[in-house]
Amino acid sequence: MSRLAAFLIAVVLLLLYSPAYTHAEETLTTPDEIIVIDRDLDGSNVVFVGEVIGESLRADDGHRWVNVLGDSTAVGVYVPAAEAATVESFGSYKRSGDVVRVSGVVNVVCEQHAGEFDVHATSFEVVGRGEETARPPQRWKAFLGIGAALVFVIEAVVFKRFRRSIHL
Amino acid sequence: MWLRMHRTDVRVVLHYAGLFVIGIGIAMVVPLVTAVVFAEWDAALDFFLGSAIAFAIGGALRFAEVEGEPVTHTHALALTALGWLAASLVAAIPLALSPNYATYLDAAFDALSGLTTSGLTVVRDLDHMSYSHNMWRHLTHLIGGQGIVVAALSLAIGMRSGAFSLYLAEGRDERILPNVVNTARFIWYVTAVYVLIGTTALTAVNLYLGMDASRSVLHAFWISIAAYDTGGFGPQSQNALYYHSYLFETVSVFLMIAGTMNFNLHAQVWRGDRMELWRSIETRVLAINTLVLSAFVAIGLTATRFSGPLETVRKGAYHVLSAHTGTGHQTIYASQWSLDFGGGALAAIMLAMAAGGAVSSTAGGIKALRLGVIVKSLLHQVKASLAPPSAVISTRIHHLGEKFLTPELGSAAAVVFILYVITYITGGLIGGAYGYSAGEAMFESISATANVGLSTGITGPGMPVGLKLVYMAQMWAGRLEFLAVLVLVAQFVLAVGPTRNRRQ
Repeated sequence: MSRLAAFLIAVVLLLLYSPAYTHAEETLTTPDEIIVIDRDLDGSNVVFVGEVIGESLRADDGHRWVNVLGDSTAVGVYVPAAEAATVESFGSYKRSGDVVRVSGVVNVVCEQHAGEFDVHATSFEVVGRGEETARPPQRWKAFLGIGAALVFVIEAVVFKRFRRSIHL
Repeated sequence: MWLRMHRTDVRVVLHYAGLFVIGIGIAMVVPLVTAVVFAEWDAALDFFLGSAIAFAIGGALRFAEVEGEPVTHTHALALTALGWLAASLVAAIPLALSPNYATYLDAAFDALSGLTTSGLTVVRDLDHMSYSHNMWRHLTHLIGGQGIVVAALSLAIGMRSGAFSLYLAEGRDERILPNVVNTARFIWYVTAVYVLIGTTALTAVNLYLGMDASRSVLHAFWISIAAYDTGGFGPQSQNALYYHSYLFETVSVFLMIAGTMNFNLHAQVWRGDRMELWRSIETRVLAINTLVLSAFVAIGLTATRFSGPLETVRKGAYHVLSAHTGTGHQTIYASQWSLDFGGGALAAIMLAMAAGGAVSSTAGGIKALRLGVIVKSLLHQVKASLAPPSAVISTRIHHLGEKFLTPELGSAAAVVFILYVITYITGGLIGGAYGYSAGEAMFESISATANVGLSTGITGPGMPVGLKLVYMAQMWAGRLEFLAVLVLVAQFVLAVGPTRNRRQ
């Protein structure tokens, strides 16, 4: 929860200090709001901040697909290849992805991409670098596992003798 | 008169359930190796611990063995129902140890969903899940798709007595080869071929899209399993939408269709009898249903944002196939079903999910053969009503050869049909009682019972605990086509109920 709270606070702060905040034609939002809630945003300019995940994927016309994660799911952003190349870290098990501020047009059913739900970026900016996620091995799992394995070995030995005693 | 299971019977069931649990422990070696290869050390410990616990529980259950006691038909049904449940609860352990599941119940939900090839998920932060946990989630599709009993039989782990009863109890209708163990091995052989083809093709697609080599292969393997086993899990939170690729969707549709076909039909075609593909009542029902429902979806979508021809094919027909084959891969967001898809198209998708794939396949739902038999029975009744009293009316169906439609065949199909419909409606009513809209609740209920996995967004980590349990029961009962679960429940009621109902 603390990670989520820190992320949300960072998003709010970034948006407050963003030049786009004062731009009248752009709506401040989040990936989740675009996807789950607000269909009035279809065709409008939005600004949102999120973490880049996975990798950038080949798209048409000199562009790449970059999936940007909100609180629960990600939205596909159609970005010029040169701007997509500025991303250094993509979110995965071992890393958090770069945080990007995307300004672009929401397409609930994109005509160019045969009905994809996407955002065509007009501006794409890395505002925070991703970093390694520490996931140290927890020893209690190893101890408990060894214990359970020992139980199985004892069971196997006893079961073998139990069977032999029946056959005698 | 009800036959109650006695202590000896219970011991037989528990002994073999223990073998299933050990089998799950052995299968955990695959994600354990994956974790070691990719240096996911904490995840590796999750699988080491999970596997060790599975061995310890399975080892304890083996003591229930009764020497020389054969596996009867009742044992087979109870064992199958209990075995699937036990396997799910054990398969959930490494998932519960990961940071992606809030509770053990959530992990058990996903393990059961994976094994029953449903694909509904309550996972959190899937985009940061380890490769090894993703491997395990998708591997549950592979184990469950072929069947836990089939897996055990193909390894021939001491289950030769009553093997055919066990095979039938898992919701399969006929053996492919004279020997049931060889039948089980054939099922794995067919699966291996399709998964290999799918993995190769999708690896090429992923490399073209720009993924690195290891992610290309892993994603390709997982999606091939999920599509061929009509499961529907995906390694990213956007499911199939993550890839934004026609090529990817085309390959996955091929795998979904292959997975929803009867293994017996695969055998016939492989033996060179390709005409069987066109003569089979199942193929015809699937083809007609898909075309009719795709047309309905196309008409329904004209009133929505998805009105262009490309959108209709890519978002309409794709989801009809995903629903009908019981796969559940999505290229739209869950919220779009209710917000953007429109009532008419949504209803057609629900019908596709409810109908399901072929018998003896990895798909769920009512099944094409039963729908064909019911329609043929209806036509038979109409013909008989119009014919002179002295006329003898006979109706034939083509399912692995010409057969006469008998009243027994018709009533058996009708019973399963009714059980599915009752479960669809009951789950929908319960979802409605939790405050969800009727359409969304019915959609989710059908998806769970027919082991599809498409979701309107009801299923998620935050859904009520009661509803999680209801959907788990629906996935379990639907996968085993009710009989095995009903037998287990009846035995439990007899065991704890008043003694006058028991036959001593």
